[in-house]
Amino acid sequence: MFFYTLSIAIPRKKIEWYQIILQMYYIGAQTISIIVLSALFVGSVLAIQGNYILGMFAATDQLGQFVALSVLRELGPVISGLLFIGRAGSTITSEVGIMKLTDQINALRSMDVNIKRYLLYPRFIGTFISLPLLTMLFNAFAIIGAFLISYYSLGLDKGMFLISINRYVSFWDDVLAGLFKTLFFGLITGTIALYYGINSINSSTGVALASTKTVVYSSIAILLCDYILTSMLMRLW
Amino acid sequence: MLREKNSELSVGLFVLLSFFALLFVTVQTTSLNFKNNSGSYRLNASFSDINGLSVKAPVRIAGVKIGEISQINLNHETYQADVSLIIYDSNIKIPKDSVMSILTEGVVGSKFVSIEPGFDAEMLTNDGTIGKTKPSLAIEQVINEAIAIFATKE
Repeated sequence: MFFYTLSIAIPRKKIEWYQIILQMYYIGAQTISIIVLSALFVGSVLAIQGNYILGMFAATDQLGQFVALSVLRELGPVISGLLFIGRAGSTITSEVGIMKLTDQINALRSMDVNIKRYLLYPRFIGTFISLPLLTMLFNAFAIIGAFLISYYSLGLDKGMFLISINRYVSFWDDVLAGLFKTLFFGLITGTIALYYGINSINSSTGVALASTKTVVYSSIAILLCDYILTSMLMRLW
Repeated sequence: MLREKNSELSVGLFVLLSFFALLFVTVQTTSLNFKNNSGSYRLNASFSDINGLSVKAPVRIAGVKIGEISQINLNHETYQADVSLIIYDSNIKIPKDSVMSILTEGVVGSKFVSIEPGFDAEMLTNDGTIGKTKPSLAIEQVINEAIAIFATKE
């Protein structure tokens, strides 16, 4: 329902481009560091575990494929979505909540500023654009992390790692299908974060409660949505 | 003002960096084989057994990938597998008496089609058919034959 009111608030005449860029800076650009760092570690761990599992079948040559498929299809979209909720979703909720608490929203309203256009819409668009971009970064850095670990620490052949990615990973079915899912995750996170922010109770506990709710509910929603989208993409339904 | 410039700059860098990341993944997953469909042509062949050959499997001459399998159908009259393949480059001409065989990468790897060029002066054109094919050797068949040979030796 809130998503609907938000989408009809999409301004027809004037778009606050500068606000969108500013929000992309706060939401997206400042999240790069944790995304990159966790992607490197996720990739390294996958390489180590994959080396163990594939080693049972003497198939460590296929490690690149193993890592790339797990990251591109599932882990990239989901983990960057969850990190994004923790980093950006809670920030949006508490920011909007505190603006409401300290009457900044009423002040803007009294100056005849359109709240939806000036406050909510830029944040929503910022989330929607930033999450797929962050996922692209996550994907690349997870594969780089796995590559570095498999070459320097596990001593696997670097050529075979890249060849197995090249041969068995498809651009449309794996890379783009993963990024397609993040579009929905961005919508979900943005909607939930703004909803709880603007509807938070006017007290410090209310804002704290609202950001907790954002994190909990959007995490659950993302995981549920991931299950639904994956079964649709795999044509199980 | 400086703050505003900084945020704009980092958003720009953020977007650029992300697309470089996507480019990196794309280059790794696709073999950068931007095949131009204008220069490609199609060939047909039928096999008595394709044994796990799948669509998009590579077609190779002397180990070099020159095309891929585009379609596999069962012929209802001959009960043979009709395979059509795309050769990426029309400059690669294949003699009419070439032999096509299905080989396996490694011992348990995936299947691919190999073309051994013949010596005919006439070349295959678009939608041409390669007459001579060798079916895939299933590992079970090889083992059965080996057992038969050992049995007669004793």
